Formats: sequence, structure tokens, C-alpha cells
Amino acid sequence: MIKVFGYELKRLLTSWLFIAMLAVNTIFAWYILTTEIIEGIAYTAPFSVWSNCAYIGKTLPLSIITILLLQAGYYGKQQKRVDILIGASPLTHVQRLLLNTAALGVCFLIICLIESILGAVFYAAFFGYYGFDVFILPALLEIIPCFVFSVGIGHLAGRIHQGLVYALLPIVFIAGFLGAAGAFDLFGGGYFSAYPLTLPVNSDGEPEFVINSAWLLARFIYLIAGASILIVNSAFRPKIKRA
Amino acid sequence: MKIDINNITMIYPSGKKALSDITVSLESPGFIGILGPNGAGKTTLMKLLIAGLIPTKGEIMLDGKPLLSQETQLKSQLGYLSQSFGLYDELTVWQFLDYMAALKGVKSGKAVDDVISRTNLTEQRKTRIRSLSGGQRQRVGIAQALLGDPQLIILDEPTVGLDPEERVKFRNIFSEMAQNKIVLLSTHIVEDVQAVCSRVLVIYGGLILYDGSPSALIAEAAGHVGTYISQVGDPVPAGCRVVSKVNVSEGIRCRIVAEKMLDCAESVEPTLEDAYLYCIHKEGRQ
Amino acid sequence: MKFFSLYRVELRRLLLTKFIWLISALCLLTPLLGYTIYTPSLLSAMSGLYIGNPISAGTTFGGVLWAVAAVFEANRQRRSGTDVLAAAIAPPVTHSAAKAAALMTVSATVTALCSLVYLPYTAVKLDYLFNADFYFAHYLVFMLPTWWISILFAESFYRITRRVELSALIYAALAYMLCFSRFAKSKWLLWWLNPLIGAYSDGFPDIWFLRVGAYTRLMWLCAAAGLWAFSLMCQRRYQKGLFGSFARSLKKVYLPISAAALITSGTVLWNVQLFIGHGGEEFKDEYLWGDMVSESFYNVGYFIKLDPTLGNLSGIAEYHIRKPANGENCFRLNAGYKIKSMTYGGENVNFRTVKEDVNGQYDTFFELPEKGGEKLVIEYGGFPTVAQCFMPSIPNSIGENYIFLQHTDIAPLMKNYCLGDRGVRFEITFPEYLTPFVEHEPLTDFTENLDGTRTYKTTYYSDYIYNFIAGRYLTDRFSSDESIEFRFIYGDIYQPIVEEYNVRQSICDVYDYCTKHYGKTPFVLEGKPFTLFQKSALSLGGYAVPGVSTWYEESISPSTLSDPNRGANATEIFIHEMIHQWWGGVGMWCDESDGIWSSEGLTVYSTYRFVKEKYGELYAKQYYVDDWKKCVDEQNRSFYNRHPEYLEKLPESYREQLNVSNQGFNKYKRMPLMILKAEELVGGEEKMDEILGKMYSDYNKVGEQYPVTYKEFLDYCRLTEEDLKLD
Repeated sequence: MIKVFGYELKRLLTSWLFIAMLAVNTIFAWYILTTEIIEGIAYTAPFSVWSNCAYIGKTLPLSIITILLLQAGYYGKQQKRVDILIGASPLTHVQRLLLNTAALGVCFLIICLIESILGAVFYAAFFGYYGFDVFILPALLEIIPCFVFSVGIGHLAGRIHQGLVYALLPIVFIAGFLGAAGAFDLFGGGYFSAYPLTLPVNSDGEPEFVINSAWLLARFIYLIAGASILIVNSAFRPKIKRA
Repeated sequence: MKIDINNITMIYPSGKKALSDITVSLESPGFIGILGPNGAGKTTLMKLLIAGLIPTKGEIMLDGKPLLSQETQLKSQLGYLSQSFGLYDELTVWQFLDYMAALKGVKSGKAVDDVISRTNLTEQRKTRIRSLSGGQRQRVGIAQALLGDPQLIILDEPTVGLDPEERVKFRNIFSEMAQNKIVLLSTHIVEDVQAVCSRVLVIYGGLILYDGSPSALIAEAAGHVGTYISQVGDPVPAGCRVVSKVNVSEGIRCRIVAEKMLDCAESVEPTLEDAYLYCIHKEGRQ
Repeated sequence: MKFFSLYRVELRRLLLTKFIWLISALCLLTPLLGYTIYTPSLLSAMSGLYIGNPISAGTTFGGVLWAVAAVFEANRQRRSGTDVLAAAIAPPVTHSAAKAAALMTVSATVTALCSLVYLPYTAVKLDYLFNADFYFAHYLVFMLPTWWISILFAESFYRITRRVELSALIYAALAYMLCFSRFAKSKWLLWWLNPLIGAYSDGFPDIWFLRVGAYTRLMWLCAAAGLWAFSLMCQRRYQKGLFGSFARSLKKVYLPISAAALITSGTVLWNVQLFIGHGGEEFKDEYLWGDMVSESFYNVGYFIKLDPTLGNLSGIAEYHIRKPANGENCFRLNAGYKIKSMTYGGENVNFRTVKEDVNGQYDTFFELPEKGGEKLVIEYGGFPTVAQCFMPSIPNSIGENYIFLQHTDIAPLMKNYCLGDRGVRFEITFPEYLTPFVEHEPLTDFTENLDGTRTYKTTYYSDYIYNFIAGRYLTDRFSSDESIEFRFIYGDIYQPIVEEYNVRQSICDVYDYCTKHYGKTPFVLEGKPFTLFQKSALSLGGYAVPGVSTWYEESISPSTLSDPNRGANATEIFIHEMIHQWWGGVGMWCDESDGIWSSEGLTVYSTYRFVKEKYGELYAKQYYVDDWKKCVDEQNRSFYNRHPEYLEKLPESYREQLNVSNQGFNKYKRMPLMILKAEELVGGEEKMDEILGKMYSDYNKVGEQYPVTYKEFLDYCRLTEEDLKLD
């Protein structure tokens, strides 16, 4: 199984699409850092947890678009033709779903990791800031539910039709780049731009970093919803034609 | 291994009836050729056998148990090559077969090298699949079907795109494998079936018209195959089906199959192709 | 011949494709987005709302849809394998051209349909403001070429990459980076997908944006067609990959040549464009003046001819020079103008020019023979450039309905020389239906020409003409009481609105309010009217000079006046500019060196007080006080204001931007709030009015003005800086 996973991952990581998108993600992340994060989100320091979470929120839509594009490949014509042969192997569709999701997850993590390193370089170079440990937990809370939900929806859409995965792209684009509503913002970034404005500031002028229950609940709901969709996907075996 | 196909009927959602109340039993060892014109139901039968379709009516039993409940067991012993299939273009031949071996749970390395050499792909083992010719891709398809010494091999038009020499080589490989397992070969090339199959199924219009040895099928056609000389523009006599035409000095020598042989025709020894066409011709007249 | 037969076949095939019908239908709907979510036009001129926005939305979103259609079509043919069959039958280049032409024909048909579908609604909404030529020109100039550019780009990307997702990605990246990103924010010529739509004018419809639109579309069409030709060379052939196919295609010489020619044309168009300055984005106040040679000119004359159809000016400037200055002389001119000739005493003068500066002007250097008393004649002309730092406000333009020119847009501005006392003869020729003003004073002396133009003549006594305005104007004279007469100059199209909304009364109210609270303005001289001049919305903002307040058109546009919730940004601008007659460059002025205390602050405060009296406390609080508080709070919270030490680590452009933004905050938000606090501390509004009135009368004497410092203001209030600090 590890070998199959290795091949799945190799196919994704060495595809032109991933390489091109990784480059675009990196450029976009640097662009966000040097144009928006540099100002400090919600008047906080550019290297505050608020700003870093907002940075992640702003780069997440493109990362998710990348993952959806890779995911669409699993439902493309070429894949369907290969599936004729793979379908005759003992690999179950649940295993296959898990393998695909895991491979996508690794791609997503690589993108997030590169963006985080870029952020760290930016904070260190511009502000001499090195306290990155406080960024980790909120960042994970932000990205994991987002990934699980998106991949779940992506698999569901792909099973119906590959075109539906592509149709998700403009939705992600609109939701991500044109802004979405409050705590239920899938990418979680809106919260970090708006909530600190409502908080009192400390003696240093910065609002304390807090995550409110509504946001946390929204992340939890996205996580559970995404996981449920994946479970539903695995519970129903794809296409055995019935008369 | 034993597969029992019991009263299977398959009707597609479009309403098309692909198979109609078919009952067949397949047992190893056996090399079974499936013959039939396009749209006869051959591919449907094969898809049913690999659990790619669920029949509308009837049941398929694998060693006495329903096939659908034995899916994992079936697939661990299955080598399948479909009529049309895809490969991962970005991988090399070796990587793709290694990947397929991993999917099948076959220990790779020797197994992959073995099928590569058997399918004459040694030179191409490091070539990316996107660079292969049509025939070479077909060989990769066959190679993956042979991986892991499967007990049931289902081959749907496996020799399409291969040159005559390779075709002969492959049918010999299939024949060797059939010594201790079930090999199901669907093809239009009657010659392949005649050369290697111990049993023939003739499918037409969703029905099995014949199930038996090739020689018995030929024997059935004895006395129903003949030749006669016709001229350009002559109509085909009623009740006959022209199998082939050859220009000779007297005119055109026509080889025909007919339920009742023409008086002017000279009776000849039937081949398997004549027998198959006679079988279809007879059914068509009914 | 082959092309046309292939074109017919492709067109018929497209018309049988359901997806193309779907895209066409969606394209017909895209202008609806311009009524709701996509509203790029600044301000709320009716033509911006009902022509600019919907057509811009249709252009942008339709462009994306046609790109989708182009990629879909190309991909479908490749996936189905029909391209292989077609390649065996038709020559690939001709076939590709026929396919692109067919898709472009469909998009052109949809453009025409779109213009007809939205015509009735637009005509009804705009009513007497509707101009059919202006409406259809938008479809022709913006929508059609943009859709074609989009198709060409999308096809090119697909042909090069042969991947749907990569093509979409490159297209999206190109659209985002060049049209919507911060990087592209003030690089309007890069906007290939979304046309630049600034402030539209209802009263003085101007085709500036259409001109720029047409030019940029042409530029991008060249670039896109060049890329498209290049992509033909990347078309995979002979079982070869990208580079192999490319190398083979190089043998078809016409392909690389046409690709290079088209891309070069686009680049040349980019470089030579006259519309927007090439001198950079940051505004810098650069003055030309050196040591003056007093009374060095006499008998100066400017003879100008304007061509509103082409937007061109051609002029001759004549100077009699008493004694040429030693060494190099210099003059400055709008960067769009070329010097056609320069003679001194009939002899040609050699000159050299230097690169355009940030203000959209350039300097010309020349040397004169020592001999004095001769005539220097400079012949020049061209299309006036708008400096990038002023964009998207268009402060200078020559249009069929409106002409606005300032100093170097009119005539050369000489360094080291100043006028003698005999004034400058100024002659200007343009269509007779426009009413001209120099420094807001009407020109009346003219001669009719046979070609439907008039030549106006005047003499003025200043080193340069600050501004020349001509438009379809009406002039209204009225007074609130006998002591003051107002001269209200506005676009003739607004006459019904001026009547309906009783704009005259509002003007009188502001004047009466300020006079009552602060005293009479000495700058409206006895016997001279107080001029209120309506500017075209094309150039944003208003300004005040002694006795003249201008404001932009939108203050009395139908959409502004009919919207009760517009707040303090548009409707009250004319109040603000009128109040500047008391506080600011014209009235009592403030020493702004400490960065807080400013005339703008006083003016904003007084506007608030007037609005409070006129519209009620609730309105004034919502649109003034609450807004100030919010802005000041934000400014206080800003990280860099709290930690200026980090500023040093930032790029200079960002520091500059932050500085400008802080200055604006201080003037327009912090300072009014501080005066409001002072008002509370000194004992209320009446007391504050008393203080301001006293300060005004003390400091505001014509001829002996000097600036009021913050400290002096505090002294008047008997307060300290500490008292007015905002938490």
C-alpha cells in the first residue's frame, strides 16, 4: 500500500500542474506578505498571530484551488481509462479514496509548509521576529478543517462529474478572494481581519489573541462535515452499473 | 477455480438487452474463446465476470459462492485486459507495472521483470508510456494482466494493434497459461481461437449459440460450406451467405455457407471461421 | 478562398454547439452585474451608473466567459481527436485562423445583441441625459475588442500548454496581476480585461475614457494577436513536443515575422501613448522658477487652436525679449505636446528636451543669441497628457463638450523670465457652442469663423494662465441680500435640477451661515460677484481661489440629489468648497508645519456645523463625528503609528504612502475632532463660533495675511495642547 501511495504522490508531485501551481502559490504568498500583511492586519503587528492567521486565510483559497485542480485529475478521462485496469485489482474503493486523499493532503501540506517558511523568512527579514511557535496551533485549526471540507466536497463533486470539480473553482475563488461571511468563512481569514477590531487593546496597543467559540465551532463543523462527506463517499461504492 | 453463470440477463438502463438468460460454466484449466459479431454481448459478459456490472437477473457463482460477495478474492486472482484502457502516461513502463503489481498485492521486482520480458518490453522498460507506440501500449496492457500469475485471465481483444508475429507469440503465451487456469479470450480473429482454444462460445444477440469444442463446431458445419463460380453482377443466391470471394480465370470463386447447399456449388471442408459464420447465419435466418 | 470556406464551416459548427449558446446567453446577462456588484465608475453620474458600469461589467465578465468558450472549444476538438482528422484535411494555420475568426464573429454578434437588449432600459433611465453615440461607442470600444483579446489569449495559452487547467491558471494570473492586483492599481494601460472607467460626467460628456479605451484595446489586440501567432508556432505537429514543433514552425517564416511584428506594435503603442504620463506615479511638487529677470518679456502672445474632435491643441507662443538671460534658457510644457519649430528673430533656435517628469510635463532647453529686442516664436501642439499622479482624475482634456487646460497645457511656462506690465495677448479658437472662461471669468470678445468656430481674444496680466475652461455652460446671477451677488455657473443640462432642488437657496444658506458666524469674506470684493463654478466630474474634487469656489458636478447630479442617504462625501462638497472662502488658501490660513493644525480641519469642522444646523444633529453625528472618531481610532491603533521604529525597515514607497495617509487623516479627521473637543471645553458651539469669528477678523485682512499657528488657536481658546489630545 505504501508503494501505491508513493506512486500516487509521485504522479501528483511531478506533474506540471503541481509544479506550476506551487510556483504561483509561492509568488502569490510573497505578494500577500509584502502588500497586505506588511501593513499589519486589523492594526496589529504584521508578525502578530492575527496577521499570520490572516495571511494563511488569504493564501488558503489558492492552495485549495490547487488541490481541487489536482483532484479533478482523479475524475478525468485519462484516469477513467486507467481505472478500467485498476478496477480489476483487489484495491477497494475505500482504500483508493484514502490513498488519493492522503496524496492530496501531502501536496497541500507541502504548499502550506512552503508558504509558512516564506512567512517566517519575511518576519525575520523585515522585523527580526522569530517567535513562530505561537503560530502553529491557530494555523492548523485554520487549514485542516478547510482541507478536509474542500477535499470531501471535491470528491463528492468529482464522483458526480469531473466538470463539477471545476465548477467548484469559481466558488472557491469568489468565497476566498471576494470575501465571505464572518465565522463561517471557510478559509477562516475574515475572522482574523475583523475580530481584533472589536477587542480592547493591551498596554502595547495589541489586542490579545483569542479564538472565539463561534469561529471554533465553525471550524469544527467544517471538519465534521468534510469528514462526513468523505465517509459517505467511502460508504457508497462508485459506479457499478445496475440495470 | 469454477465460475457458474446461471440464467444471467443483462438489460442496460437505456433498455438495450445485452444478454438474455445465459447459463455457462467455466472451470480451470480451460482456454475459452468467445466469438461473436459487434454488439453481441461479449464485453458485457466479461464485465459481469470482473464484477464491473451487476446483472439484471440471474447470478454468477465463484467456487459456489456469489461473485459479488467474493469480489476481493476474485480480484486477487484476476488478470484483466479490456478492449479500451488507459495507462499513466507520465510513468515509465517499469514504474507502471510496479504500480500495478503493488495494487494487486504482488511482490514486484522479479514479477515485473518477468512480465516485461514475456511481453517483449525489455528495451522499453525505462521508456515513458507517453512515448510508446500503439502496439507497445497494448503489450503493457497485456503485461499488467499477466502480473502475479492470476488464476482467471480475461482478455478482451488483446491482440488488437499487434503485428502478426507478435500475435502468434502472445496467443502461445496465453495458451501456456491456460494449462492450469481459466483464460477467457474475446476476439474477432477466429484464427486465434482455432489455434489455441479448447472451447468456444459463440454469442449472438445476447444468446449463446454454441458452447463446445472448436472441432465440434466445425463438424456441425460440414456439408454446409461450398464454392461456386459466379460472374460480375450476379446476385447472391437466396439462402446463402458469401464468406469470401476470389478472382479466378473462370470468373469469381465464391465461398458460401448455406443451410441447404446449392446444386451448382462444390462442397468443401469447413474451417472454424466457416463454422462460426454458418452458426450466425443459421441463427439469423431463424 | 480556403479560409472563407473553413470559416463558414467553423461558424456553422459553433452555432450548433450548445455550450456556445450557453456562453452567449450568459454574456448577455453579464452587464446586469454592473448594476449591482461590479461598479468601477467613480462617483454616481447617471452615465457612469447606467452606461459605464454595466458595459464595463459585461466587458470584464464576458471576457472571462469567452476565454472559457475558447479553451472549451479547443480542448473538445483535441480530446475528441477531430483536430487530428482536421489537420489531415485543412492547413493548420488557416484552420486555426478560421476557428478564431468564427468564435470572434459569434462574440461580435453577442456584443451587438447586448447593445440592443440594454438600449431601452438605459435610454429610459438616462432620459434627457441619454446620448446614443456615447452608448454604442462603449460597446464598440470596450466590449468587442476586449472579448476578442480574451479569446486570443485563451486560445494561445491552450495551444501552448495543451492543458485546460494550466491555460485557465495562466489566464487568471494574467488577469489578476495586470488588471486587479495592487501592482496594477495605478497602471491603467495594463488593464486589458477591465476597461478603465473613471468619473463620468453627465453635464459635460467626455470621451477621454473612450479614447484611452480604444488605444489600450488596440495595443492589447496587437499583443494578443502576436501571442496568438506565436502560439501557432507551438502547435504540436509531426509527433513532436513543444520545442520540436516550435523549431519546425520557424521554417514558416511568416509566422515568427507576424508574431514579432504584432508584439512589437503593441510594445511601441505602449511606449508612445500620449494619454497617461510616463513620468511615474508619485506626485512631487516641482517648481521651475529660478532667478527672475524682471520685466524681461514684452508683447507676449499665445495663439491657440483647439480641435475637440481629436482632442488636440496647436499653438504659437510669441515673446519679445528685452534682454536674453545668459546661458541656457528653459521652458516647460505638457508632455503630450511636441515642439514643431522655434525661431528667434526669424532664425531657427536649437533646443534639446529632457525626459518627462512626474507631473506630466517636460523641459526644453535652448540658448538665445545675446541680441535683445527680437521675437521668439515657439510653435507646438499635440494631445495633452494626464500625469499619472493625478489619475483617475483627468485635470486636462480637450473634449467636444468640455475643455479644461492649465498653465503648461496652454502655453510654454518660461523659466527665469517674467512678464512686463503690458499683459499677454491670448487668442483661442474652438467650436462656437462652448462658453469659455479664463480664471473663471467669462471671455466675451470674439470673432466668428466660417468653419463654425469662434476665436476669443483677451489680455491677461499674469505669468501664466492658471486655467482655461470651456463647456456648455449657463450663468445665473442672484443674491441672498443686497450685499452680495452670486454668479452661479453650471452645465446647461442641469438647469431643471437647479430649479427643482433650489440649489440657489442652498448657496445662499452657506454664505449666510458663514457670514453670520465668522464674518464677511473680504475676498469677494465689492462690486464683484462671488463665483460658484461647476467643474466637470472628469476632474475630481473642487478648489477655491479668491472669490471663486468650484466643486465637481456630482454635487448636483440627479442620482446624488435623489438619494437621501448619500452622506457627507458628495452632496456637501460644494458646502466645503464655499467655506474655504473663509478658512483655507483663500480666507484665514493656517500654519500647517506641525502636521495637525490645518485649514482643511477648520473647513471640515465648519461644514459639520452647517450640516448640523441644516440637516439635524443625528445626520451630522452619523456622517461627521462618528466617521472622524472611527478614523482617529484606526489611526491610533495602527501598528506603525504605535511603533514608528519599524518604519525604517520598510520600503520607502510604503513609508511615503503611510505618511500621506496619516497627513490626510490628520487634516480631515483628527483636527475636526480636536476642534470639536475644544468646542466642548470652551463652553459650547456659540462660544467656539465667537472664538473663530474673532480669530477670523483678526487674521483675515486682505494684503496683510499671515498664518495662524496651532498655538495661537489654543491661546484664543485658552487651552493647552494637552487638553486637546485625543485618547
